Amino acid sequence: MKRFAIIAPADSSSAARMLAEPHRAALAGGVDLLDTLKQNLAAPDELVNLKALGGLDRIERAPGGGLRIGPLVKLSQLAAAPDVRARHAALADAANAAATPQIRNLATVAGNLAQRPRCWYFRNPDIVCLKKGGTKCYAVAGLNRYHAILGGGPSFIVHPSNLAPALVAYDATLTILAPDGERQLAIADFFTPPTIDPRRENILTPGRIITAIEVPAPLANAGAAWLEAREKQSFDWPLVSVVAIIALNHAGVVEYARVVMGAVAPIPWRAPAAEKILLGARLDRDLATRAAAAALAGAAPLAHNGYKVPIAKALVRRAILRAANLADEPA
Amino acid sequence: MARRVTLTLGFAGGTREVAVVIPDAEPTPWQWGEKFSVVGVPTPRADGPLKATGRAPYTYDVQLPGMLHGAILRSPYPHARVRGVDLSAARKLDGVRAALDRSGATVRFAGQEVAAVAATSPEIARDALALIRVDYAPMPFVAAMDEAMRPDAALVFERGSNVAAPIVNAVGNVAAGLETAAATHEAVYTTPVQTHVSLETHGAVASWRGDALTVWCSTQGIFGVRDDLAVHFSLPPENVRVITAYLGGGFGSKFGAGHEVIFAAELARMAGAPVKLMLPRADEHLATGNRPSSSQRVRIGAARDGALTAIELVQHGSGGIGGGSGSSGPYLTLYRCANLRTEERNVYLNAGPSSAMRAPGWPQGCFALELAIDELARKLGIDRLELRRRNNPSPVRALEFEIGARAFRWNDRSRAPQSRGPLKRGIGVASAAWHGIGASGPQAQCVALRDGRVQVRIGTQDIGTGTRTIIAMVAAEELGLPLDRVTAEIGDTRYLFSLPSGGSLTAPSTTPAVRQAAAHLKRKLMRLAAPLLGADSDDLIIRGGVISARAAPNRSLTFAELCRRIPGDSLAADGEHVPNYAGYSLTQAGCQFAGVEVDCETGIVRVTDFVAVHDAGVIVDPLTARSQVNGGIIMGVGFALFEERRIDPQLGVMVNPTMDDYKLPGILDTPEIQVFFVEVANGITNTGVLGLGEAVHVAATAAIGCAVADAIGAPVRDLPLTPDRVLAALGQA
Amino acid sequence: MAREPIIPTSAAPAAQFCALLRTKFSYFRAPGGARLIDPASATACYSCLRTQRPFGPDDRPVDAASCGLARSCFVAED
Repeated sequence: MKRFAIIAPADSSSAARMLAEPHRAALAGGVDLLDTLKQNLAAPDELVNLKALGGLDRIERAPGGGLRIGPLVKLSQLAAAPDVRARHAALADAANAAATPQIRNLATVAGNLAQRPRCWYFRNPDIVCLKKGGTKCYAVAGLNRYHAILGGGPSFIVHPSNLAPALVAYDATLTILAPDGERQLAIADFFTPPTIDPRRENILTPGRIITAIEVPAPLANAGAAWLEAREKQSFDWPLVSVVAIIALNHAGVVEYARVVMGAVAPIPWRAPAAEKILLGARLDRDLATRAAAAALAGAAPLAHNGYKVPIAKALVRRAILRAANLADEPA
Repeated sequence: MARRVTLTLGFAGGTREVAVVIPDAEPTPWQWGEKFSVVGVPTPRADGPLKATGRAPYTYDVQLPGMLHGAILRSPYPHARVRGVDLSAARKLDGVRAALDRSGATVRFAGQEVAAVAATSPEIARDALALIRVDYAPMPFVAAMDEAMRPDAALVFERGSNVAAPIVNAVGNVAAGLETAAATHEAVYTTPVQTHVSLETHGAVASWRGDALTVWCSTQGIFGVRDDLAVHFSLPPENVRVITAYLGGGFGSKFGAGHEVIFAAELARMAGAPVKLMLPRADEHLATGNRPSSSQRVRIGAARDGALTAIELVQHGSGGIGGGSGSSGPYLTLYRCANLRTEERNVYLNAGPSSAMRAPGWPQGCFALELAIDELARKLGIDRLELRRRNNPSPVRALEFEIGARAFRWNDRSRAPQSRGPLKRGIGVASAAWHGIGASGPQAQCVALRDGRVQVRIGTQDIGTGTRTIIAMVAAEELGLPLDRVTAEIGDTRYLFSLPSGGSLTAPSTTPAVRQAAAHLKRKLMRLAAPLLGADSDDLIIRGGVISARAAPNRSLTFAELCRRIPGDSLAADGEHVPNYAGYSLTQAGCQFAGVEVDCETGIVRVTDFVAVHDAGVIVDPLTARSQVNGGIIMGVGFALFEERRIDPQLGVMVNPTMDDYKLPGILDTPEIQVFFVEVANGITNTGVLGLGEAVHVAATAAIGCAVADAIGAPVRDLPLTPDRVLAALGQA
Repeated sequence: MAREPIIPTSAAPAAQFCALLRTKFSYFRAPGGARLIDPASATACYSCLRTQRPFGPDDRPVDAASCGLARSCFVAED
């Protein structure tokens, strides 16, 4: 591991300018950063300590019931905030399920979004895979039980963030600061699929930092659910996670639907085909089951991860029904 | 001189009189109905506060003046000829003080050590590794058993086969037994390689003064390490001192001086400075041993009444470049059967070597055999617990089944209707057995100090089971002292010899030596007290720290007052473990019941509850004993649900050598555990204590496997019981 | 029937084992003083003290069956 210095920026703009230099990396919670340093995935000379910046660690209620979340807000803070729990429960639940209490006390929201994938080929310092400039994604013909079933290729990583699917489902907007100025973008545009560049997972090229995450208020009659399936209940990564936001009218007909899956694809994976089936139809278990099938219709599993398809189907159905507060009783 | 005594031995299910001849110096073995004052009282471990507050000095914590830090370079290739190792750039790096080349001609697994360095900081040592140039010529490798067994497979060892000669055990006639059976069952069960994952990794701090070597070492056997180092460096054993004050787990992987200990000592000698070399976590998974894999073809048959008529095991297992992958123990032990045959072959792979691991072979064999018993029970239409009872050879286990079934509510739960939703509940039961009867060799010294305290000094080490605590308890019991007067000094080869902590034999081997030493000390102290109390020393008794004569109980002397009369600094007496007596029983039984909940749509298994019933002779400390049972079960949960060394077929490297990807159970994965002990007075030693560490791990995985099959109505015959396999068994994936 | 693979209680030094042959029970001794090396064990994981690995200096696997007098790297016990 290369020795590094820690430098403190005076403000956000100078942080962005400092980070425009490729020999630097951003330090926030430092959780994944430390891993990537040890695994030779990054070898910066200097870490720009974003924790030195004031005012970026707050959760504020925006006019109209939305949230403005500072990038340095800790996962534990997000999970416990009454404002988040009240209107954006799926986001709070996603934050609360990540990692361990100790890690949630350190890890930041922006860091959670920007963390590198957990693929065991990528993380192995001895293996030069496609994501590290090599020619081959070893997951394709290798041990791929935890890899992508949707949107894979040429890299088959799954996006590791617990928060990402929830923020996509809630239509969050990110404020990105770069040396040439600030801009806002829909969170769905933040993630970079491997077809565009297998070596990164998002648009945070050197010099860009997240300075705010805005989450609009959901419809007053919408309900949300976040579910995950994971092998271990203590400290594990999900095999599949699902966020559903559903609003029903007085007749039980779906008037708003959002279904986003995590851990199934290299980016958070929205399921428009499922949403389309739901919209305008009366929600019951059968409809939710058909929506779930549609969500996975494009699944292209590898040799060892086909089991994630039925898990994802079950979770999508359950999340839709739970978001609508309907029982998941088998017929 | 020896004397003959008649002992009342046995357990709640029955006792008998057993005559044994014991040496004169030896206290009479504890018998059935013995009245204890310290032994048997639930006692928090003596070093618990030190451990919980981080003040217990583990090898990892040792810091010496001028100490260097070692690191090891390992092969990234599973099989390669090493054409050259160039250490020159590493040696030139500022801060590097020693480097050694240990490549040999061929590396046979990814992770095999090639070179090592010592430097002034761990960071410089790691940087130096990156500067070592190794010229590898990669060779074809074999990463899986089926591949290795093909006729055209690459050979792990150039001379010889990848498949070792079989080890066969047989009695009776299996074919005939299957012929007469009313029901038979045949299937293949597999278990993966499991790594030990001791929380403290392997390693040592080595320090030379002239030709005397002192090594602080994370080991299960300080004397074994001492002797290995003495042989390696051609030193008399007394020139090597090994210290293990505290040990963060071993599970069978820390016998003797491994390469990391020898490297630490070699580097320290080269550098002329102490060297600390503790392995990183990945190295621990790759290169310090593991539980071998197994593929077990089981054939089993029973008569209509459930009596087993035949059991056969044909297995292949792999210890990587090592051997010892057999799993026949449970087949040959757990159930009565006249026709038995086991055939075990080790298959060599280009993968890290096996080592002993908590009940070697038994959790694997128990998983396959017990699942097969369940599958047979279904064919016979006999309750699964009942089938086990009918074939159970152990009267102790018969009682344990009864206690366990009641606590677990086996009858109610086995008749409970299954839920209609996706969450299905299941139950399972499995038999355990072990032979934690100890071995000869340990000697102990009991020392009364002038200030009224007693120290027990013995060259054992605490693998984490509470050895300090039970040693002090046994001595306090024998000396008639409150426990707070007695401490155990262990973990140093300067003390009298004791054995490695493995084979469940620390408690059974050390406590008899400790008790004998305490009895000898008591005799010396009573001789000191006799004139003071005007009584014959044989008439004196000591209880609760007060000495008095049987005849005149109103004249007394406290232990502290007596100790002030010690003429020197202290009064010491030695004791030894004498060879075991015939006693009541040389075996241990045990059984475990597991409850699980399976989500049939996700395939995710949760272990909800366990009932464990075990015997280990006299239970010295029910609290630390219960901890061992908890640990054995939690480790069984890991083996059942999560753990597997995964080797990529393209590269031949382990892809999950991290705490992140090598999945261990956490607190939320831990079931509710109820523990019951059946006390057995076995009289095989003066304490009759048996070891627990392995007996409590044998059946846990099997019980979970049986419960999962019960929950989903189909067996999952391959460990770990991951969602993909559960869903496949359900026809869902 | 129960075989006792754990601790053989009697010493049966049928063969002479290399002084550098190691396995868990080689660190224990039978009452007669012999190291507890059991060639019939199916679970003994052998290694060589010279290489600290399950192969000898001659690059062949080590075990109780083969680490005897016939092997070029054999070292006699004291």
